[in-house]
Amino acid sequence: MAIITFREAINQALKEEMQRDEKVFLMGEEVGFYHGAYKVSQGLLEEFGEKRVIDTPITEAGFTGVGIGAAMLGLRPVIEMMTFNFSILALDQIVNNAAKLRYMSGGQIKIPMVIRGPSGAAHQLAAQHSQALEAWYAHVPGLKVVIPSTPKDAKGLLKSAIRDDNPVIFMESELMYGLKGEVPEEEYTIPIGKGDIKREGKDVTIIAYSKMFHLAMQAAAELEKEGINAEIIDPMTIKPLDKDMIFESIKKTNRCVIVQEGWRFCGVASEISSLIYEEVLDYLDAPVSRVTGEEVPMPFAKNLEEAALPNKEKIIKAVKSVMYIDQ
Amino acid sequence: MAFKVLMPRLSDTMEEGKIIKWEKKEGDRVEKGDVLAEVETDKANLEMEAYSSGILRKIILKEGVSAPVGDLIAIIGEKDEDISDIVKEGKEKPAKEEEKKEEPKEKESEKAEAAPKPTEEEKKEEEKEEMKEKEKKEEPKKEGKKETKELVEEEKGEKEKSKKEERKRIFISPLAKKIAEEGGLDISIIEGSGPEGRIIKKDVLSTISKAKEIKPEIKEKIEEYREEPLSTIRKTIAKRLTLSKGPVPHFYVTAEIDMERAIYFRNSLKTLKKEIPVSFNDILIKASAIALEKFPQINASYRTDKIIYYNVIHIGIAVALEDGLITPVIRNVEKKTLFEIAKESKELIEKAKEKKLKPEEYTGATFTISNMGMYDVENFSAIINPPEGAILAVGSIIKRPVVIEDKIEIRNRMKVTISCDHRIVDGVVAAQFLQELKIDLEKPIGIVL
Amino acid sequence: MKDDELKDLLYKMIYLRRFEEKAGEMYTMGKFRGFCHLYIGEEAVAVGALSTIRDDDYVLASYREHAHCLIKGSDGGRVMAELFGKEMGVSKGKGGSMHLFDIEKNFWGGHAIVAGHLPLATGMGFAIKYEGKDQVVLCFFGEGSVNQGTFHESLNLASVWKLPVIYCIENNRYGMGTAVERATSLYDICQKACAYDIPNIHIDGMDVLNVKKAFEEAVKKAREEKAPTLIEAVTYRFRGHSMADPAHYRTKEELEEQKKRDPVETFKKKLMQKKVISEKDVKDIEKEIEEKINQAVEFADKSPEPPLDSLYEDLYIE
Repeated sequence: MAIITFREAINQALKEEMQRDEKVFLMGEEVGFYHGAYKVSQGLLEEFGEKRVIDTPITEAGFTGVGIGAAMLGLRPVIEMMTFNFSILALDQIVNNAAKLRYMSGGQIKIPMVIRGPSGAAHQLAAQHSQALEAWYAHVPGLKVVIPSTPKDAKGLLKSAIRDDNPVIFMESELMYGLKGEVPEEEYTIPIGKGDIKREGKDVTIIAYSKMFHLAMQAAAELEKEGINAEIIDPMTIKPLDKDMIFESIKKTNRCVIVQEGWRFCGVASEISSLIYEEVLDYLDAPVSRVTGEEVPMPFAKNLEEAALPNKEKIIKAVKSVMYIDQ
Repeated sequence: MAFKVLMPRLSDTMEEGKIIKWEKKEGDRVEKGDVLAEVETDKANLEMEAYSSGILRKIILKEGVSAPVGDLIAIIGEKDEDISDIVKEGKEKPAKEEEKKEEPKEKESEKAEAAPKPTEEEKKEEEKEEMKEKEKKEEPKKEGKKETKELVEEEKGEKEKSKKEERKRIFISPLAKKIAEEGGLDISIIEGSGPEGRIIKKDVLSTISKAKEIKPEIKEKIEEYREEPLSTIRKTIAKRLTLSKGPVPHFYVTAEIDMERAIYFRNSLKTLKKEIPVSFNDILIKASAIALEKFPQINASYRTDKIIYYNVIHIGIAVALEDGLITPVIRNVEKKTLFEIAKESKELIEKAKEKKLKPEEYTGATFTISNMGMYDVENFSAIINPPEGAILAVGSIIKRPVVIEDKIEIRNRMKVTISCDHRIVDGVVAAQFLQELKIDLEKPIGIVL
Repeated sequence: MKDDELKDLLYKMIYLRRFEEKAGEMYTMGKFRGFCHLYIGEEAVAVGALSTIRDDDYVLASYREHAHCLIKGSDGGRVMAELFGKEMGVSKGKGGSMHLFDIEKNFWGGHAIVAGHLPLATGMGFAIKYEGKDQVVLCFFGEGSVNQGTFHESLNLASVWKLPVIYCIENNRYGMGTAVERATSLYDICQKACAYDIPNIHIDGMDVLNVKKAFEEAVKKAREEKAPTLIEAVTYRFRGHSMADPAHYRTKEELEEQKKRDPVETFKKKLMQKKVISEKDVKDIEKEIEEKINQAVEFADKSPEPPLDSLYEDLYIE
């Protein structure tokens, strides 16, 4: 096992897949000469050349559409969004083309592409640079949405995403790029659509992904001191969701807290809650609790930003409330 | 060939159209592509073109009249073609529209006629009515205040009613509800500690455990009776079997089994393997297992909304103790030989009497046998051990006169009674089970094979 | 040009004209609903342009694309079946009039977001170059598209990266009901190409030979130099924007004037004048085409609707 950063894990996945298959290329703003806005594509231009690591103008709709067009003819583009905030400019291409071309053509076209980049808040990047939009993409039939939380998951899942013949939205996190973790040294992939029980427990099921997963782990450590044993499920893929893993866990613990960074109304947690109520209602001793971002555009001030995001204390509070523990 | 001109769908949302003007008249020559008429649609006035060339033989839909999209509105054909069939199709519809227009006119004229001038008598009546109305108007004023008071009180009363009804509505978490149901608990007696008085899991569990506690009662004269606290085992029996006998609808089927061969069989086994004595109970256990394999509906358990059918047969044997009863379980009887069963049952019974049984040794039975044969009991019926589906009560082996082939013989006979949960077992199945058991016991060699 | 080639051009234009007329008739007869955008009047552009490319070249168009699909080689019955929303349609009934796809014939859609397909065409050009191949991409769209962001983004990328894509504006003067002068600064649109350092060609889209010549030039450039071209074909549609359009935004006089330049009629007269075809030939052609189109309608009528369990088919590849 090697210990590498999340950033390195993605870099390795890109490199290995580009070595493995000539049809894979990386395209996006500053991915080449700048080595990536977040240095994720470090060294790739040197190894693969300008043909396969392509710097684009600032033209999100344009280069996303180019990626889709290239995928239509059998190439396997990895389109980097500098951040997923900018993907909104390409939304028409992603939703009306990438997600739908296969269906509208009666199955004649396939779009084996990955759109990847950091998503969610970092430190005081303010309203237009801090959005967590996975719910928007998960909503659209035809797309897959993958959100890894650890370096090991990032590498394995990105390799799977690149090999997947469907359009995959792959959301990373700026604040996690420096996170270190164990990664197998041999070749491996992690299947899309399967979740991971990252911490076994019996008192409550916490579902959390990306940065929120790490907060959940911190909360679980604190709760353990009080004798509360939390099970943490990292879904890893938001769409298609590993529902069975979640249902089995709730049958065991009878309680659920879902943590998401994005806005509350119509977020991923809303969908997971609904699924839980539909399938395993009789196992619940309390309603599902959602710990989410506040429903405001991200404010700049440090204290306001902190207040607008989930944190360890909010998760602990939610766990105690579903356990009917007075606080 | 005549061509039917239909009301075209000229816009996506158009459901009907009205002819504003026919650009051609009957008898005119029409070429394909010519404008036939101007049509008013929901969105705009649009031109309608001819899709066929010929003579416009008949206009069916008149100007100013609407028709739904797809209706026949004209016919294009050759000069002398017979189009009478097609015309018939079209005639019905416009005629109906004309009727519709006529009807409202008639009704209006009726109304006009129906209003005659009032006669004197009628006038008087009208005056009387007016007087009454005036009175009515005055009365409500006096009553008005009362009424409002009453109304207010009624409202209050209703509010209180609804509050009471709300209190009657029990808030309970789905999990707690399930646990209460499985335990046969009445949720109206449980106090909820969750928000809005919601009953939650721990409330149900604590209610169940409180039931174990004895409430201290007022001490009366001690000499008239002797009080003895319930031993733990007695408490458990009481609780468990009340839970069973209460909600479980029992029914009973009795059969008498000829035990001659079984006795002979057992004696032979004694000589075969002296070190492992096989008791009648052991033979019964194995025979029951064979019968349960054939009638798995009995090897089952009732749950709300479903029945659990076990794939394994774990048989509990009721063992009498000084102060009560315990049921050690022989697991997987279907896989064990008679000798294995005999050995195990001996061990378990010893342990039971020494009170050394572990929980996994006295729980998990899918069927129980209660044998009171050693007490010279002719027959009895037992109470099912919840959550099992049935229990077999075994009486003593007694010599009885029996009619066999029209002759009276003295035979060793044994009565067994099966108690079944009628929610999952029907009479016929129980009877068939006993029949099978009878066969197995009356030809016991089958048990060993 | 040889006589056969000229006859073929005429045949195709007549075929398109009759097909579109029939499609319009079928729509008003209730055979299908939704939108129906007819190409009547613009035939010279599709026929002229597509006569200059190979089977393995790629074509994309907007929602007024029955013509491009048919001329690229799709079977008329299967296109009509798609219009009717039937299982035997080119897109298995899942696309409809606006989303015809026939990948086997290299017709890549059928796109309904104005200018939404331009980046796709650009991407296909990118793939051709990436794989070192020599196909070209023809991308057709209306003049209304030139004001959408993706028009500019696509032309910029095609120019910066030198991609073999020919962007063809079918300027029929009106985007729905808005005349191009009211919507577009610099409405001599092909001039916009200089903003992207791309050559442009301005052509009379009612003259099929004119169109053919321009495209031959552009296709050669794309194939040999891997360079994009912007072509503006000025044309006119004789029907409304779609089936629901009463066309109040243009006068009857204007329409009548334009009809005098009917590409089918003018080319037919030209060929008759040059004795390439006779009146009888034309009658034979019309008869043959009428047959074909009736067969297409019959095929579409007989085809069943897509089975209900195809609802979730072709969404994801497992």
